[in-house]
Amino acid sequence: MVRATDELSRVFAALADPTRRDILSRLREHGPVTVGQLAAAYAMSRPAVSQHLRVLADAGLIVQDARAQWRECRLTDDGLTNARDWIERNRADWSQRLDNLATHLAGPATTAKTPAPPTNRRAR
Amino acid sequence: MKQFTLERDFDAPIDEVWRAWTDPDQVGAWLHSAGGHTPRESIRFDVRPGGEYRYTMVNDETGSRYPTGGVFREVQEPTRLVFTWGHPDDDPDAAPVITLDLAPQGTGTRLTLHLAAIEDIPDPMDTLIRQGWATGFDQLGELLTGAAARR
Repeated sequence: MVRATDELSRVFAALADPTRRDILSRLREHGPVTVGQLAAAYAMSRPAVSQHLRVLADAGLIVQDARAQWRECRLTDDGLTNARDWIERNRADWSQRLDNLATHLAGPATTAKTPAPPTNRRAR
Repeated sequence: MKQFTLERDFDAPIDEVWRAWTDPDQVGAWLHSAGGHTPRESIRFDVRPGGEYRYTMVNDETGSRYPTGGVFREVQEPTRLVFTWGHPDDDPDAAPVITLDLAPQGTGTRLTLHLAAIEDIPDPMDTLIRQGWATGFDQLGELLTGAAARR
């Protein structure tokens, strides 16, 4: 029971900091990152970032992979779940971007977009 | 396999759709996630085989930055664009690849987007840590159940 309490304290301590919560959220939404990439994203020194990562890793929330990238540690992390989540996340993101693209192409900001009269089809 | 295909018809001629993807003055207007924007000054596009591109999306609320970049693999204006996609520092050979195929469709354009990731080789240490975390989580569950029962 003592061991579980210690782990619980470490998890709560890890999540008590807003930057660490943001780091976890970033790993969840955008996949693995390196210390350098996090330092740039938060305009923070590498030692400061590493300190946050140590707290998150001690709490068992993140882990470093073979390519020195930090990623979220998931409870049921089998290959199939991973692939499915990746597909869902990226498909939704790109579908949103294509919606944005449709709006951009239709909007007044598009350069030289004048509706072609029906008799004036462009040959392609 | 981490891959999927999206198909979308756009009510614009093929060269306009191509430009929306390759003109740095246009890309920022639409290539961002909900709740984010892409500043023009962050955009660099060298649209040729082997050329690099990069842009940074900024979260509107928190200001945190998400740089994106990669290398163009194939450039066949206006019908095919293939490029790697990930963090600008990533090794392009390990990064996911996006393949865009454009075709005229009536007065508009059909766009097919295919995104495929290179598969990770699982690290044995990852498995050990996951198992350890799973054990801890079970005990957390028991702890919380016990605490609730004692109320």
